[in-house]
Amino acid sequence: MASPSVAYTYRYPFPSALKPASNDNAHPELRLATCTGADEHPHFFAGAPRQAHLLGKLLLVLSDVVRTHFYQPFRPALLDPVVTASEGMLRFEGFSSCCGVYARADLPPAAFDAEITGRGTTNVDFNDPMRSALARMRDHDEIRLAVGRDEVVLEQDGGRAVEKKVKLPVRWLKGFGEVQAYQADLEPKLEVPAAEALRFVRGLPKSQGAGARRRGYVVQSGRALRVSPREGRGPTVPLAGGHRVRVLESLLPGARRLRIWSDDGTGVSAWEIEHETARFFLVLSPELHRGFSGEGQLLDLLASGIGRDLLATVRGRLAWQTRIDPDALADDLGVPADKVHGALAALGARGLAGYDAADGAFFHRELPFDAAAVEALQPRLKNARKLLDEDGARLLSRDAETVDVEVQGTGVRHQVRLALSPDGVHRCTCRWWSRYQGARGPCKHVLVARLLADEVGSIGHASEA
Amino acid sequence: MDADQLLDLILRGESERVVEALAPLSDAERRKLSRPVAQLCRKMELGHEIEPPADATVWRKQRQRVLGPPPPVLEAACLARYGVCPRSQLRSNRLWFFWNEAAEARLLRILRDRRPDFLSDWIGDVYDQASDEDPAQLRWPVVRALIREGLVDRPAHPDYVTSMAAHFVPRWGQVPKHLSQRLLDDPGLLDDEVWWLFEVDIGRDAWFRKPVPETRGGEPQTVEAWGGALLRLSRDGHLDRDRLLSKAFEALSRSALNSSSLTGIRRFAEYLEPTLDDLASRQSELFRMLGCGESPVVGWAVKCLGQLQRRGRLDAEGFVRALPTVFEISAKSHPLRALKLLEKVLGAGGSEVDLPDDELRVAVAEAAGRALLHPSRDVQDRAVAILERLATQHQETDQETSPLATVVARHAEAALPTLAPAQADQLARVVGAEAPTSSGDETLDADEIEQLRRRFEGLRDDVRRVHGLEGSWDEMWPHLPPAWSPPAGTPPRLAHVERIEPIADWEELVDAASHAAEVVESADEIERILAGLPRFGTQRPDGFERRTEALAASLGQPSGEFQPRGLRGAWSSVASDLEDLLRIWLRGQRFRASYIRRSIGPFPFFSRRVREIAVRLRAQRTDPLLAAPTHSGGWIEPEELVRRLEALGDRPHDPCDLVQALLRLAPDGREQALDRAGRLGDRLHGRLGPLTRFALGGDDRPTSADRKLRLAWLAAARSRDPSGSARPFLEGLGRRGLRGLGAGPDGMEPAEIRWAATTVRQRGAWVSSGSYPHLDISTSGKEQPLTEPHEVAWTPLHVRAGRAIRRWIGRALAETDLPTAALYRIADYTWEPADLQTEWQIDWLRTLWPARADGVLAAGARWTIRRLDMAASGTSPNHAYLTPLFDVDRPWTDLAYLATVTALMSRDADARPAALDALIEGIEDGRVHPEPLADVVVRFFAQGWAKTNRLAETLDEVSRVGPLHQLVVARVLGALVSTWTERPHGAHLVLQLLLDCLEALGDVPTASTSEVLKGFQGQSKTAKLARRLRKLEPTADRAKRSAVAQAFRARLDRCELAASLD
Repeated sequence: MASPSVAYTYRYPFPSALKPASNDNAHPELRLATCTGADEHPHFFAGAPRQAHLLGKLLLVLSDVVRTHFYQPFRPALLDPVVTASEGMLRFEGFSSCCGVYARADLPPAAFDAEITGRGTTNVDFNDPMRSALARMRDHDEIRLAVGRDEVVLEQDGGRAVEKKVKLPVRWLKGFGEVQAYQADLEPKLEVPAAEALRFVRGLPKSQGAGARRRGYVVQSGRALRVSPREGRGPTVPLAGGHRVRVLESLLPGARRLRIWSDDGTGVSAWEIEHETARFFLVLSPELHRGFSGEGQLLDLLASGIGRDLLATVRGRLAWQTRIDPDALADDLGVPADKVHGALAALGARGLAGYDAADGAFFHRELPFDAAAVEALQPRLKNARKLLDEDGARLLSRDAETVDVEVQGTGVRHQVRLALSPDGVHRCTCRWWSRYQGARGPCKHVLVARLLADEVGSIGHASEA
Repeated sequence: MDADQLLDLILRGESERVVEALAPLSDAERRKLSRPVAQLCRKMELGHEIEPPADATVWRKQRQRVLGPPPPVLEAACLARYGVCPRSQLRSNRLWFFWNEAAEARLLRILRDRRPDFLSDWIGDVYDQASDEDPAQLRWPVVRALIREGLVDRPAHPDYVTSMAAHFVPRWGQVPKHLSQRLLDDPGLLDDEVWWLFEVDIGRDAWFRKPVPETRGGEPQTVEAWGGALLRLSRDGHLDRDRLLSKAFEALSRSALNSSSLTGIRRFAEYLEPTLDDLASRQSELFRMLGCGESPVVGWAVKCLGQLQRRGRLDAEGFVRALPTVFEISAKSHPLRALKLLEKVLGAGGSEVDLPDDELRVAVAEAAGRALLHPSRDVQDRAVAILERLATQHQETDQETSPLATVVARHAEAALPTLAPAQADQLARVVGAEAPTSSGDETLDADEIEQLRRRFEGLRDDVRRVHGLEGSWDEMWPHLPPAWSPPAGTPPRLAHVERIEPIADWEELVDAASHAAEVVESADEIERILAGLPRFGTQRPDGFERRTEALAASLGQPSGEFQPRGLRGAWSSVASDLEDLLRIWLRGQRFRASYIRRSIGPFPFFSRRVREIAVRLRAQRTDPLLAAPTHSGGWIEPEELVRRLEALGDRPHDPCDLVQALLRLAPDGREQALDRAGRLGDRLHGRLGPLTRFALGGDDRPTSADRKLRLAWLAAARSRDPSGSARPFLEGLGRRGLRGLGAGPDGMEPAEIRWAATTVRQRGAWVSSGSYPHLDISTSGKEQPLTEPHEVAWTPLHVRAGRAIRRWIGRALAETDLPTAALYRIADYTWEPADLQTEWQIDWLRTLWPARADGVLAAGARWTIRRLDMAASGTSPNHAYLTPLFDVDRPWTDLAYLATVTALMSRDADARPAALDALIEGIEDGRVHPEPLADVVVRFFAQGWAKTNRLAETLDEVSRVGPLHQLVVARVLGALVSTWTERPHGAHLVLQLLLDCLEALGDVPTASTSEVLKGFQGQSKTAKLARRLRKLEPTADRAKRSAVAQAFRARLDRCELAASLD
């Protein structure tokens, strides 16, 4: 069955392309066409990259990720990456068609000979001729980069507008939000020089097979990295679908180092390549067949409603900042830090904030899609609310630490024990929970229990009053 | 015409009449017919049953209703749909049949008659929606005819060109009219379409086809594909050669096509025979080709640039600047040729760098620096040489802070850690840096050696003897300590093993069982549940029914996965026995023996254990399970077993539970346990007291009265001395008691295992007949029949018979044969049984007798050798057999080395890394020694089928860890080379690795290895390496001493731990 999708039209005033030098321009110019859902064509940046070859490779790899379905040999939807501009950084982000790989290229002002002036997020047209031009860019080429154009009308007169109708999979949009939740928990585990990283990446499988699908662990023995089937004693990073990392191969020559990030328990890994003037981040889902969209890491937060009252306030403070420190923001607002975290996570789920693990901070970006509608399409949360509306759950008992709830399942009644303490572990008797033990987010029964507990809690307060 | 008439024509398959009937209709009339036609087509697409007209001859047989409509009906339906339906209906036509030329002509007539205004858009829709699995139904000739008739514009979609390319190239076996002739028949194609071929992926075969072999005795027929056709048309003056050449160069330099298409275009460009002028005018494209990442294109570009260089027409600056991208391809030949070309550019004499300015020198350094990161040693060698030449020039003319020095230093810093020692030394000299050492922490000094000596001399003699450190320090240092092979049962085993936390209450038991129903994490988890069932299985607290309702409902349902990882819906007998056990616990149902499934090796024993627990549950017995492991891997702390027996009191025990418990006794703390058992006196049930004391090393012995417990006594004897004979201990059982007892391997006598690498004519499993690698593994001890009937048909009679036979055989064998013997039989099956298709079940095998894992390892070696050249498989988790090797206190036996080497030599992407891990960890903690490893490697290579490249590749990974690992690898490879009587394929890979390791250690080959190396003469790579190896001189052997010190450290740690636990 086809996954749900929303119709979306990319409308660019002109196709992205490498324009040869003309009388007006002393140098060839790589013009990236931009558009937002509101049919706007923002102009963000114009300047010369200091390392044109590197810029070309970064954008090409990003485009490769977006155009690849790593799990099945489907012809992927021709989706375009998005770019976020602010004074501190130009970020290009993309998500693979299988929704299991997130990629981001960070270009600080040092990467260019000009300041980044624009602010905002927009789609960028990545077409075949432009990809071809990216592949041909060399460091000694004196190329200028323009993200958007301030003379759009002139371009439209002289060239042709581009209109691409695509079906944006809902899971693709959801993944954009979900991956931010993972990144906030990542920690650097391994670090190797680029030369060693290149040797390691070249040894990874080129395509998925039984060996590539199985989860292994990247370990460091001496200076060398290798994939071990066991977790081992030292720092390790889980890795499934190692062929997904192969896309980084072309970025490693000339890089400073590779840092590999991971968290405790989820199986997500992030691969950061650091260059002198740029950074590339690749985040992999825990399993090859699992996209970030189905992980449900945000569901608990969304169901709990923590920080919901702060959404508008926090959103108002984002202001296209490159670096938003939740703790500092909490101090500033005079509210508990977990509430600000909750609000930022909820904003992230709506595509209004991204997370940069290397900086350890959120950044403001507004996905040019209607991501707020996507939040409503969280199937587990939607089903949970439906169950609650249909009186499919009843509270059995409640004490200081736990809440026991009975939830109607298919042919059986599930028993949910909700842990109220932050470190507590929920429990449910359904098969989803039995299988994943919460590693893929809460099941719908746990969400019902949470919603019911909140509801009953407020009734309790009301009666006390 | 009304709808019924049209539908009738469709169902009769009257395509021609459909076309005629629709021809005169107006748009309004067509709209009226649209709905019923669309509905009929939809029914056909969904496979719904369709009632044909009674007299429709095309539906010849009733079976057509089952198979779906016949092709004429499908064609008529399609034509009608194209004739009347709106664009939205035509977007997704899923009616499949083979369009022949007549059908296409009818379609053309339909569209020509209808002339819808959406025709161009509709063609765009069809191309847009076509996917790789679902190619567009709209065939190219129809689209082309519509274009020629002016009904549609030429589609801009690439699929239009790819479908044209596919249409003109004949399928295998067809040799139609030449493609060039067919193109001339439609000259419009030469103006536009053929030029698009250079912009889309049509694949190598569409560019050039191999000659079709003529099967009837004639000459092979040459099939003209696109490349040949364009060449012919160019020669005949129909196409401009220069434009063709430009398009080909443009395509190759654009890097937008796939590898297959680029290969075809590259060949085409080659056949156009570009002249020097052609090449010279297109140098910028050639430079771009260097970075295209496709080996055939890069190679051709280098070749063309070489031609230009020879004639002095190469743009040296452009070449140097474009060069760094060549090194992004991993093949070595083209990067190597590119570097040779660079050397020529730099000056043939080698004495002078003939470059116009410093900036270009920096570019050369940049290119050579990139080449340092190439995986090929030869490319790295040449890059270092170029950098050396540049640096020599530079020292004479420039300052240290120049851009050239900066670039060279930057690349050297990045590459030095990954280069081979000799290259690293050479490069370090170039940049004036220090070459990195192999481990980075080799600061071995006299103090440290003195410390090791003191630790050595501080050990008790008996501890040193047990751990292979006999002799004085001066005799031992600085040689590797001998292989660690303490007598079985002597080294402590629990110090590094995780303790298993028992299940705390009934709710945790429910959680654990629910999880195991879906996913079994490990054998330890199964044992936790088995141990928890007797303790909490009889409890029925408030809410029990509610809490277990979902689990009870899910048991017995299929898991919904192809490979069940949990107990629910499992295929193996023991897994379904466990599932039944959970049902008995939850709902008190009867035990359903899994008699129809084939169970092998020790799994029937596990099943019997499960059934014993089922009987306990039904009898409401809450005695603790004797065999529940206290530590991971199956170990039971001896004192804990005594406590359990004490708790059992005078109640009867379960036979399999007792045997299993005795086999799992750990060597640690037996004396304390014996004291405790001695204090209990005769308070234990029956003869359990003497039996337990005997197992723990006491003086008790069996008597003739112990015949009923004779198997338990045998298990106790095995547990007491795993590597000795049990017979002297069990004499007291008498002749009747000893009759037939423990005849299998690891029964009365410890198993002696012999193996040899052989080649066999395969009997059939997995592969077709032929000669295949084989390991002939044989054990001492009488072979026993299988404990289970192979297959029992699914009839009540057979079920009963099977059950009876099974009980009888099972009981008979249970009295005489330890389950350890059955371990050795699991490698003898032709097909991998379901019992061995999940990791946790293989993991369970090693818990049967944790003291000795040879049976499991033998099975692992046998199953792995069968899949030696096959990729990993989810249903053959051979890596799981290697798990015992990760037990840091388990000495490596011959079988351990064999299982590891077999997995290292396999293509299995799961087993190979597992073996690599085991080997690296084994070397690190001192369990792996080069001598036995080399012995096994040499024997493994005896038949000549083992691949030296795989060995070199895996051992290269091992050698990267540190000096000790390099030392082990060097010894193993040296031993292997010394057995070579002729040069094996891939010998240079082994010699290269040997050279790297010896250089890093400052060591030299042994005399026997050098003797063999003398035999390699000539200019081959192997011969050159052999000469370099022979010329090695021992150097300051700091790395080697560091390796030996690490080995001593590991051994002394082990000795001190053992001494502290005594």
